[in-house]
Formats: sequence, structure tokens, C-alpha cells
Amino acid sequence: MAFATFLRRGSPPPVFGAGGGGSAGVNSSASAGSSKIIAMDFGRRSRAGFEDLALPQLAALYNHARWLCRDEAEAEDLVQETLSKALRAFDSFQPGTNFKAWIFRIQRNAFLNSRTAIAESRTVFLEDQEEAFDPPSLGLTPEQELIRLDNIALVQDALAQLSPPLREVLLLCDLEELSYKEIAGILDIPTGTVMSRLSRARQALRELLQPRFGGSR
Amino acid sequence: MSAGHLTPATIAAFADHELAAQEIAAAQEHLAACHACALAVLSATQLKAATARAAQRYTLSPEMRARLVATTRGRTSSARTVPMRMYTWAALAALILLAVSVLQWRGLRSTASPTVAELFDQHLAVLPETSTPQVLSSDRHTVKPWFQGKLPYSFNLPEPADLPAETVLQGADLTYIGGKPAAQLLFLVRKHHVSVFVTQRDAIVLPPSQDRNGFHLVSVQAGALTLTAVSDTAEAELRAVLTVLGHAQS
Repeated sequence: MAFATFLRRGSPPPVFGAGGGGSAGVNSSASAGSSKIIAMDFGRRSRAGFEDLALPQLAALYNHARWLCRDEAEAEDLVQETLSKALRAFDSFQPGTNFKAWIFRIQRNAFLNSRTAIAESRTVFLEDQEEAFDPPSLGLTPEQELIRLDNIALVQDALAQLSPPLREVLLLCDLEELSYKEIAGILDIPTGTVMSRLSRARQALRELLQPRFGGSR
Repeated sequence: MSAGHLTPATIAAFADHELAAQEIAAAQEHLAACHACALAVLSATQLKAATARAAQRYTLSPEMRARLVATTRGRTSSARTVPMRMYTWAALAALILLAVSVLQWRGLRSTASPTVAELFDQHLAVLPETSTPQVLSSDRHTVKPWFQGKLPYSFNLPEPADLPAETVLQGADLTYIGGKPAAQLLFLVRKHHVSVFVTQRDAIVLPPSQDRNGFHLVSVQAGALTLTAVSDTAEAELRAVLTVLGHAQS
């Protein structure tokens, strides 16, 4: 049903319960290049509050941006843009909700307006299938799998080969440890779709990590 | 899989810490007794851990971190250009183009007054050594009468002694500004050629001053006349000449 939701653009409804301005600063405008913060009267506490929340996320935002953009300079630009937008939209952040999910959503929307994403939008993605998948057959015992999983370079290589929507959902879940619901909010897709994508992503990863000697599923 | 086994979705949810407390209890109860499902959960957990390790691949350099932190402080870092998407470049190019054209337009418009352009041109025309004034004289009593019958108005010339230091009248030309006859008085000020155009006040409209390619144009009103000096000499000297000429008219 949901075709290529990964690249659906436009203004999503506010998900994090931020009324009104929930998506302020999320929708990228032509000011993508401007990292100038418009001189708004941020209270000292507000900006300090923003930094307290945002700075611990810098490393994660950048790592995620690198996976999205596949380019160092572009990733830095993306994070910079994310910070600017998040700071401008900070009023719409609801204290008590997950700031990480909020700012990752801003970054993703900023990314969707980037060159890379627009280029990728020419790629056709498979439809998300809502039905459950066959359980991956245990072709390997966990012990055997562990040996392969221990090889970080191999896993990184497999991750790099995943399609962007599958990689994205996997990173948000396994690395950023966001909940299904939060991921659904970031990606603008139903929770069920998050689960089916995760399942497909992991299956694809397992297949990529299968030893080459006729490792059928 | 028999009905008793955990579904793949449950296994994933278990590994992802997405099960509710009572679901966890039920799952753990089954896992304690079922080797296959326990292996599946272990496998899922290991894959998840490996993914997390492998995905944590790119680290922020201290310089980059500093630049990004500067962003949150609302400062643009000088160390790096701001993000530039394709359309940002396009917009910027358009903006530069617009700015340049506006400036050019203004520049043109400032000399766009064809009258001003004419005056500059007329002055340039008398600069070559080969060009001699139509009336070659430093005597005001020669120069002034020469224009009688040629101009629909009259003007006065000051005594040579009244002119500023090192300023000499060399002669004059009958010229046409905006299609109307006018007097072009030729002075030499410290070896600089200065043209002073005498026109009727309502005949042409001129800016009080204008610079073009190193030449200055200064214009003053004197009664019913407009006196306009053009030269590459200092503006102050032009004003001095014009002041004396202006006094002579009253």
C-alpha cells in the first residue's frame, strides 16, 4: 500500500503531539543553505536547554547522516542544517517526549530535500509488504553466525549493500535504539510497516552474511 | 512452527525490547522450555548487537564538532561554507545576477541621463592636442561677444584676476547639449583641461555631481543659467572655478 514512503515528501502531520508548529522547521525550505539562525529572541534558558539536549546527539546525528548521504561534507552540512532547524523549531518540542526521535525526524526531512535523496528518488523501491515474513530458517547455528557477525567489516559491507529504506530503519532501531513507535513517527509510516521493514532488513542482512557456499535460506 | 512457538514478529519484538511486561513473561516462559525459539532469540539478539557495532562507523572529528556546536550557538562557522543544495546555488546565482544587473542599471542610470553622457563626451572631444577651440582667446571680451547670435541667451565671464590660482581661460566652443546650443568654455587649471558648459537652467536636468572613469562633473545654478564643469582635476578646484563664474553672472 505505502509506495516508497521512504521518499514521501511534503509536510507530514506533527507526530510528537506538538500542536500547530509541530512541523515548523521540519519542512525544508529553499533556505537549505542558510545556517544563519534568524535572530529570534531565544531565551538563554531555551538555548542552553537546546544545547543540553542536542549536543549529546551530535555523534549519532552525524553517523546517521553519513549513512544517509554517503559523503562526509554533505553529512556535515546535513547535521548543521538539522541543528539550525531544530533550534528554530525548539519551541515546538514537547518536553517529556523523546528529543532524539524529534531531532532525527528533523534530520530525515532535511535529508529528503538534499541532492542525494532526490537522486535516490529515481530508484524504485519495493512496496512495503505488511504481511509477516517467513521466519528466517536457521541455516547457521548462532555459534556459526557469531563468527561471521564478529567480522565488523563484513557486517558494515552488508549494511552498505542494503537498500536505503531498509538500512535506515535498521539503524534507527538497532543502533539508535528508538522504539517502533518513534521510528514510525520519524519515517512517517505505520508501526506495522516499521516491523515488516525491520524484518526484511534483517533477513536481507542475514542473507548477505551467509557464507557463499550454497547458503540457501 | 507449532502454535506454541514464538512468531518471528514476537522474536523480533523480544529482541527489540518492544514487548509489554506480561508478554515478556509469557515469552520467557516459553523460551525456558523451547530450544529452537531460544536459539532464534539469541540469533536475533546477536544480529542486532552486530548491526549496532557495525553501524557505529563514522566518528565526528573535533574540528567538525566545534563547527557544529557553533551552529547551535547561532554563529555560522567561517571554517566551512554553509550547505549548498543545487537550487541554493541556482538561487544564489540568480541573486548575484540580479544584484549585478541592478548595480549596472543604477550605474547606467546614473550616467543614463544622456545629457550627462553628452557633457562627458564633449569634454573628451576637446582634450586632444589637435583640437583647437573655435574661439581661441583668454580674453573675456573676445570670448563673450563671439557667442552673440549663436546662443539664445547671454552670460558673463569673470576677470582673469578673479579666477582661482593657475586657472586660465583658453577659449570656447559652441556646442550642442540635448539638441540646444550651449557654450563650452575651456579652462586650464594646473595643466588640467576643464570644460565649463553654460546652459539655460530649464534646458537640461543635471545631477549636482557625478563621477565617471576618473572624470568629475560638477553642476551649479547661477541665476537663469546652469554652469557645469567637467574635468579630471580635483572636484574642489572645479567648484572654485564655478563659484567665480557664478558670481560673474549676478
